[in-house]
Amino acid sequence: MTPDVVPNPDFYTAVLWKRLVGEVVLAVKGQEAPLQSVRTYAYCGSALDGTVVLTTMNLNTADTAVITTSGFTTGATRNEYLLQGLGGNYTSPNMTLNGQVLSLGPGGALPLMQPVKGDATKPI
Amino acid sequence: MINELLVLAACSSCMYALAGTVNSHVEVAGIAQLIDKKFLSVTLDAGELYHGFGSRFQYQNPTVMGLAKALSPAWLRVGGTDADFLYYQGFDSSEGSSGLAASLGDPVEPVNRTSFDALANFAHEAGWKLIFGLNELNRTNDGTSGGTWDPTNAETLIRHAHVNRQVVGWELGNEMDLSGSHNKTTFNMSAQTVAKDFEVLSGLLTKIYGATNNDSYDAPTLVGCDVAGQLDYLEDFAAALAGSGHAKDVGALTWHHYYENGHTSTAEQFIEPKVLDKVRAGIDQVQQIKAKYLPDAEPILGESSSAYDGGTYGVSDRFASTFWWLD
Repeated sequence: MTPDVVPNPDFYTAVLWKRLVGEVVLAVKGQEAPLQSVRTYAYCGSALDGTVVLTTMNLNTADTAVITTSGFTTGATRNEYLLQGLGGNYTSPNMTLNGQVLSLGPGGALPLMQPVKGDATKPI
Repeated sequence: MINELLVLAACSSCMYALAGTVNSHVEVAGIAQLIDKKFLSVTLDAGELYHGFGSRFQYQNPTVMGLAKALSPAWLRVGGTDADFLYYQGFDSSEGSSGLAASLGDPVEPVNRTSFDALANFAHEAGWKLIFGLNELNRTNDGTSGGTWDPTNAETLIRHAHVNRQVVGWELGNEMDLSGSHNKTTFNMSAQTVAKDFEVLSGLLTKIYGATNNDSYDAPTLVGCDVAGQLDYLEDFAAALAGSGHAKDVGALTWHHYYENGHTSTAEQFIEPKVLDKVRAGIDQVQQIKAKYLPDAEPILGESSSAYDGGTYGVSDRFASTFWWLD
């Protein structure tokens, strides 16, 4: 955080991790090789209700990442949390979650940080 | 049964770029390992205690407390170079002796009870468990060789923390693999010397907390030895403990990892696969050290961030610095 107690982007990433990710790390085939620009990790969710959490990263500044999965079944929808630099700029001091800038509210209240529903039959 | 899928995605590409596609297929295949709920945690530099806790870190600010609670449960490690030099004052009538530490550090105020309790209370209210680094450079020697740790001053703090149940993990010394070539000491602290100091601390903890028993509510974990990156040094430390029959004394095997230099790092580096991969070799090596010498210890990346020496302004505080967290 800054001296004015404004959190840096990675704070919100850490909060989402704390809320979503549980104690079980799942093995992910296809991710063992080094130097990958699109990365995926998998975990059991923190609620221990059968939820799987995938954390994915696209390190490419131009290319779109398209991720398909197997090894587990899903329902019709999934919850998606897309983090980006404001305006798609990775050097931005501001981070967006599903297009909304993350910042503290009155009295330092955390933003809601809610997911959007995605179609689970489509690639990520 | 899988009944829901959550996707947490971080993307460095511009939404409107005209460019290609990178396809990736992943298959989830069973359990890889377990991590603690406190896996993602926080280190606060022991320098925050130099002039009384709160002289810089705004622990009484309600917004700071709100941010801290959002990361709970977590460990709060208070350590770093400054921890080696701190002197504890007013925890009991004896205080113990002040050896080399006080003469090597910058002029600082001793850590008093008010300051330490404020730190411990902050951690407790936030839902954080405190890990505290002790003053290994308080030593009984003339400053030309490693000598031995003088635990008498630390004992006063440990006894206070024991009575008040404030600390779940004790460290001793920070990045001693840099001793002799660093601004902290003029002499080398060998891994074997550090291991001997840990044996002294382990005996002290047993004396204060009772027989070592990880199931006991009060028994804290001994955490170390927080090497800066020389993992051969960590291996020598582990080998020395195992060789003297003290392998079970240390509950957490710790090392530090920074991806880049805080004085020179750039945002581009933190979206480079080869930069993010730097941490892999260390993880593998620490796992091997654990398996070979300290099978009961948990490997913990005890301190990490994008870049050392406080990060890089305009880089570590930008979106680019979120990827290494997820990686």
